[in-house]
Amino acid sequence: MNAIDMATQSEHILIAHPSAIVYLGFSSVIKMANIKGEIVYAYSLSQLESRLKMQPYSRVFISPMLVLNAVPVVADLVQRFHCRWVLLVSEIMPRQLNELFHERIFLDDSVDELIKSLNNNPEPQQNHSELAKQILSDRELDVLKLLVEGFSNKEIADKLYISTHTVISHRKNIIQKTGIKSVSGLTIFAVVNKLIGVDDYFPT
Amino acid sequence: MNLIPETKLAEAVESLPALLPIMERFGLPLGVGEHTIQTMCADKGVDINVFLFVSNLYLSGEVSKDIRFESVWLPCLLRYLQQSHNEYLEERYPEIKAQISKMQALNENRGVKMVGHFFEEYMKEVNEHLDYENNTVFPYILQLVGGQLSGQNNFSVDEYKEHHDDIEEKLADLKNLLIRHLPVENDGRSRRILLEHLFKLEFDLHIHSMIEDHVLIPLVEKLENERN
Repeated sequence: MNAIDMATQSEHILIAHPSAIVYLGFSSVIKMANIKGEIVYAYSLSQLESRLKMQPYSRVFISPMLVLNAVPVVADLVQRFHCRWVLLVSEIMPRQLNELFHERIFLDDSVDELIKSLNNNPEPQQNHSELAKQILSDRELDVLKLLVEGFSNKEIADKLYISTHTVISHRKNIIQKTGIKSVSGLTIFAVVNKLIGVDDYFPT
Repeated sequence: MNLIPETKLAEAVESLPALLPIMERFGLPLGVGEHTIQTMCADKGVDINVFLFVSNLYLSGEVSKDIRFESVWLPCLLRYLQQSHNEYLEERYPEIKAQISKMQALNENRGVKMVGHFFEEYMKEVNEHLDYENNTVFPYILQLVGGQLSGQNNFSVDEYKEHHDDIEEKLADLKNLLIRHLPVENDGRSRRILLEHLFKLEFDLHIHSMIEDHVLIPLVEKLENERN
């Protein structure tokens, strides 16, 4: 049995999320995106693993809540079961989690945006982060994310185990490279480049 | 073209359309007929020195070194600034806000959605600044000019200067995001129109800040010294 049946273009999709409501809602959106195939539900990591063992899937959508306390377990699953692994995000995520998965989908996007993301090839989504990574160094990205989360220079310095002086220096570089000075401006930059998700700070 | 009192207003406007909003703020109406700058200002009770100063500032982008600004010019200048404020609040900002909405209707990107909120924040800061000027700075200056010794003074030069740095910074950031970072979908034209508005506003605010920094603040300091 093929994960994607090429003749009928149908997929086998697995949604791993503790909330049945999210599963039901997201399944509807998948159907609205005209993606054909079966959608299977797993509400826990162990259920996820047993489902994965039973048949191949083309895409797995997983909630951060299942990943956060079991990163090595999930990393192992991603290695063993090859398909598109997509993280379902609705808040600011530690970068380590982002790097485990091929893509992210933001649950607070509009239905139209969600449908677009579902029908996109993986590349375009990654391109945005790639672009930011080309302009800014890893350290500068770390500082930028903490900055737009609202932390002070001192707090950022403590979190990254560097001096306040170094934080200020990184901030100057960020301003110089992006051309953006204000924290709210940098927040929009971070959102556009998918470095953070939209949260309650920015009602649309 | 250098403006002098004898310059005919009709010719001035033909060569320098930028004069149009300036005239409006001074209360000089169109249908100028054969008026020169001198006759029109006299007719409408506008201090011709202030009009020429502001016009030449807009045209050159610099405060001329040889101009010695007199404190008697202040009431007229403050009226001009207050009219600018009204124009920003009643015309320019609503225009920009509407243009942002148009753009957002054509672009689903999350960052673009946030632009509306960013602009609201910016407007709050602008309103604070304009309130501060209308209610604190300008009355204080008028008191100084009138020679009144008033105990009430909430005016702080440093706070004043900080305000417009913040505002200019946010506007520059918005332009930068629209030009460089925010991806375009179907909103190319409305984005272009929005940017044209923003460039125009930025220049206007820049001149406004120059008047504050190079004229108002030094004069306040001078008047305060004279009073003491």
